[in-house]
Amino acid sequence: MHPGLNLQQAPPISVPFRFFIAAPLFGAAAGLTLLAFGPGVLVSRWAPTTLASTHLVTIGFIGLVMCGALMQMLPVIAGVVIPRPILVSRMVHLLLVVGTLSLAAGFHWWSAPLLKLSAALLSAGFVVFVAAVSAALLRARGGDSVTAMRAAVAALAVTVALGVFTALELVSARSGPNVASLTNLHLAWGILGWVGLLVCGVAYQVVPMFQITPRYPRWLTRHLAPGVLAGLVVWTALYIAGDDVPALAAPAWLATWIAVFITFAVTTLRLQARRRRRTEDVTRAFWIVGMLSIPASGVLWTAMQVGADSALVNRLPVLLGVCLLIGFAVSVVNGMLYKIVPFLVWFHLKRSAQGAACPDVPNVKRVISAGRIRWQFRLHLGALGALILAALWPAWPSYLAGLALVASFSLLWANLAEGALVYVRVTRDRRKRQPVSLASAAAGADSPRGIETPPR
Amino acid sequence: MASIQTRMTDDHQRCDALFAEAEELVTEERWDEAAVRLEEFSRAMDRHFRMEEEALFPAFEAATGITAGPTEIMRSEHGQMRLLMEAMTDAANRHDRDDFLGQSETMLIIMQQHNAKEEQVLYPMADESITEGREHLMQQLDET
Repeated sequence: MHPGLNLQQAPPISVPFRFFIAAPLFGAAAGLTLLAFGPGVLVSRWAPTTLASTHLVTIGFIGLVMCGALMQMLPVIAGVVIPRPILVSRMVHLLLVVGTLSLAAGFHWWSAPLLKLSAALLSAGFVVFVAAVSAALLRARGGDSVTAMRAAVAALAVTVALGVFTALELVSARSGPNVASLTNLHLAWGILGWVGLLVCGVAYQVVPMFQITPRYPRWLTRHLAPGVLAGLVVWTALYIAGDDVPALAAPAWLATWIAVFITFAVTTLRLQARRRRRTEDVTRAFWIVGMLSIPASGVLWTAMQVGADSALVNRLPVLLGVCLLIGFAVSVVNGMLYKIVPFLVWFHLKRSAQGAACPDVPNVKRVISAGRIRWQFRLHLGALGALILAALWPAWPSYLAGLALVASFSLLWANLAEGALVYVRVTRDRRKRQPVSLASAAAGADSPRGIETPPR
Repeated sequence: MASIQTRMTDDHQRCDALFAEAEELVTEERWDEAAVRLEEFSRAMDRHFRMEEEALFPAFEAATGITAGPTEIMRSEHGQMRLLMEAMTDAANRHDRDDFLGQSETMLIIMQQHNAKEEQVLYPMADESITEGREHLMQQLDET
């Protein structure tokens, strides 16, 4: 038997869902932080509360969804199964949730014990995750997507190690100037490596799939991930070398790889423009925002490198953070959730009916109401706009941005919960109707309220 | 010699194109044209399924000795897609745009992840393992 070749090994629905349903709450918490502490959060990238709310978004929202999605998608697109998925997902979920909360609290109150605790919890959570996913990824086949995912997971390991090291350095007595350098390394590996490469790996698959576009050009998909990974290693060496190499070496080298991501973003937008499928699709709208944020971030980063010291240039680091995290990463992740969650509800309800006709299963467009998805997209755009404003003029727009973030993430949570409830309700109704034979219950019963019976 | 991978992947893309056209016609509520395109799509899919179920899968099973695993799952997914195509046709006959678009969205996801598994795992393995009787198989695929 071929190891790892079993094409129907989707993990139980609880595996990805526990991550998805927790994630928006962290995004809302970041919004609440902004509401509570106002302009103080966006004045500098180094303010404790800024670090707290940033990590609520990066680990709490982006990280949780990406972990859950990777555990879900690996079996489907790479044909490999994650060992002990329920146990692994419970452990990773618990460690990351508690770890992120203690990290945010640790930053906010600048508490050494809490920061140390969070370093221990988060590194434990990510070690379990990386180990489980690597075990599967090493056996996977599936070409350039899998290569990009392997590179992304390697970058995640480096990001976490750098993050833990930075946190310990922060709380140690010898807290010195290298904390800033460590932080820059940490976020380059996190954004370009982990988030960037994972988005590329997923995009190679899902953009042509869902919109029926031409495929990504092979020259791009083959070289992007290995190139970026090697590029980050070299850049790290240049960065650490500091004064021993020409001052422009490290930024010039990094600029090359930022240009590669801009090429990816432009390619994605051009493929989407040539899509065969023309139906209205909110996920695509989220992706357009995400892809446009990549060149915008490139421009901001360049301005930061060349700009003279001025009030405006001093605002750029926070603006860049907003553009990368909310504009790019949150948009893409948020959009993907609206494809993944309805499909999983449909898929698992069908599967649990074991082949019987099941008129009680709604089609994927009836799992979450389309109107509320559109509203959440508008709120997300509003939050992004308000955050850009607040990054430039923190005073009152900070409160507006906080409010918009809370609203957007709360509605996202409600939408995902609506999907989860459909699953729970149909499953419960099936049990109630006929505990003996699930198949006949599913075939013979009326559909639950609110879900129209599809034709048979 | 032409690869199974190329041959079958091209056929997937042909089906995808018909799917997208039918869906767009329904979006615009051009029901008569939609019905024609949908019929073409169903026929193209049915032919593709038969190419696999009657020629490729048996050859794959004979060459690899794997009978219970991947091909069985592919066959059951064909069954799911046949049901979804029926639901799409039914919705189109009733001129129910929303129902059609819901069914077609479901169909697209099932179809695309099914294709991905075939293109990335099954076809490459078939290309590696099916050496004997290959010309006969390619001929069978053409004649289906």
